[in-house]
Amino acid sequence: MKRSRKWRIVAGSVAVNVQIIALLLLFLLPILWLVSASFKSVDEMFSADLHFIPRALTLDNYIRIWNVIPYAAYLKNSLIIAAYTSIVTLIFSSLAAYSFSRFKYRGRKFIKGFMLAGQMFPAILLIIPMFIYVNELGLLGKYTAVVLAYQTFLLPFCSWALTNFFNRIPVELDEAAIIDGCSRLQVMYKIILPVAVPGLISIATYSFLGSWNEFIYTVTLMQNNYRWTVPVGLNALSNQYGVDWGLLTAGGVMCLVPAVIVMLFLQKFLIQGHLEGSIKG
Amino acid sequence: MLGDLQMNEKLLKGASPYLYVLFPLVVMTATVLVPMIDTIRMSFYQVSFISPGMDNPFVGLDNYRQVLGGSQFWGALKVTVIWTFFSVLFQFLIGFYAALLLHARQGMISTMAKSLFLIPWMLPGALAAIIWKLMYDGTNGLLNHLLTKAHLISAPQTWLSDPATVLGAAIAVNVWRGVPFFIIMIYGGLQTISKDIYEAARIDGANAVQRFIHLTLPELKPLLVTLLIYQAVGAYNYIDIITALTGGGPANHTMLLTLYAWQQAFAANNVSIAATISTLSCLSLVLIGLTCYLFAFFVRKVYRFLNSRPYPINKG
Repeated sequence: MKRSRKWRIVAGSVAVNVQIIALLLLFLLPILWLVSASFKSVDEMFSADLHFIPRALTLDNYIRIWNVIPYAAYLKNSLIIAAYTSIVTLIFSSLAAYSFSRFKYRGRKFIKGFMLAGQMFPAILLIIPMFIYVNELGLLGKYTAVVLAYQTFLLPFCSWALTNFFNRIPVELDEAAIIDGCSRLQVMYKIILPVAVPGLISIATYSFLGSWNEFIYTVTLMQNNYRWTVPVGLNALSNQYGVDWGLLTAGGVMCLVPAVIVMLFLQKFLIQGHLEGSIKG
Repeated sequence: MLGDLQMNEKLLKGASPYLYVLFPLVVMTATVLVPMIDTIRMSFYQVSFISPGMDNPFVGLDNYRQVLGGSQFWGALKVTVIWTFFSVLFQFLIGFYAALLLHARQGMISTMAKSLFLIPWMLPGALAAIIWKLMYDGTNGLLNHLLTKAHLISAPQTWLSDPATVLGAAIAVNVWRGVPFFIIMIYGGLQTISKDIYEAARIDGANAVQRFIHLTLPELKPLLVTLLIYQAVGAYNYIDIITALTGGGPANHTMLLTLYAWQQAFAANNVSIAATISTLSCLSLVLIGLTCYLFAFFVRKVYRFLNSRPYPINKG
């Protein structure tokens, strides 16, 4: 009797885990195929019999890509824009969050509502005037233009998530600091920000990934191909007549790796922020 | 005690909060509020990229007549609704199923799986499209290879150039990329449900299906509704995958409203028409949302009416 129950638990566990692994393999199959293809020669990639493990492993695609297309420029642009975006988002969202979390003032709810509502408006509703303004300001093709455009979807979420982080820091800390003679600005960067480091990391990660993945603002505001980011460059490559799949797969893998590293490293922070956003938002 | 309270009050008031919020507020106004109003404004004018200003002729509803009078807008609206509905439906079902699996047996495998499931979600939408272009390849793509081997299809299909399959193929890519989001969020929601009520239900003799319907679903309902709305709005406006996968083709079979507007602006230079389509796209989303809300409201009313009894038999 006891034994049969134990058996049932083990069998149930196996059944669940088998399903998990099967589903996971199904989901990762395209990624694995991309990685596998990037190490194949173009001939082997499109030969009639397909193999996961390349017959003749070659690094040719990873070597050619730097010379055939300006991949180094794409990578550089992606990194600079992502870092730039993270810093700008951090500054703006921590200012907004400090104001929302630590002050009571006329119009606070309205301003908070307005900032949060910002993320409901899709890019397509904003992008035409934005292109016109950016063009008139002479910012077309400049990093600043896309960084500002990304704020439309990053700033609302990040301000809101940081406000929640700040709200969890006891106000007594501020009080003690003010009694000790700190100004309000000093309270912010000497007390609140150091305590909220996990929150700041999660905001920075979110901004970094959001920027790394962004496509439509970049393709519109960056007309010069030496200013493209990796996704935009790869898309252009994939639309050429007679696609060079060798370059495309190698470029795709190199676009994926930084995002995966950032994500897996910081997923806990990221998920926490997102979960709160969905439950309370 | 009283001192503390006064201190708190003093801390929470003051003039400087406006200074802190000023810069973020200026950014949001300049990048969201002003462009949004300007898009709507342009939909009533005859403007171009060279001369976008107010000095252009005001044409009233002419642009709207032109867009709504053509067939392309209605075609794109239909594609967008199908795309959104099936994307979110399958994302939700598969994501829920996987979240339940991960929640059912927690151990090393499920912890690792949870991280790995995230990969499709965090790669760029354009890259997701490129990966699937490789999978869908008409002659020797992996999908054709596997399906032929499994005898599900007799000959390789050109998934992305056949009007019959292209929208389904594109939705599959969006589902693939969106499922992880549902997995993680629903898994997080499942973790917050207290184990005690399951134990109580088990003792009362409720089987797994009953526990799911009467405990899990009601407990998760607020989260699920939020997630579904969030993802539906996201899918309605999501442009990256389609742009990189098909560019709206073949023959507009995957032309979303957003992409239609974008192409009118940046490929055809019809700025006024593009602004009109953008405005109508958002308006249609609001109308669909409102319809769903009213529908849910009436269904609930009818349900309550049918369940109501003249005398309350069992209170509590």
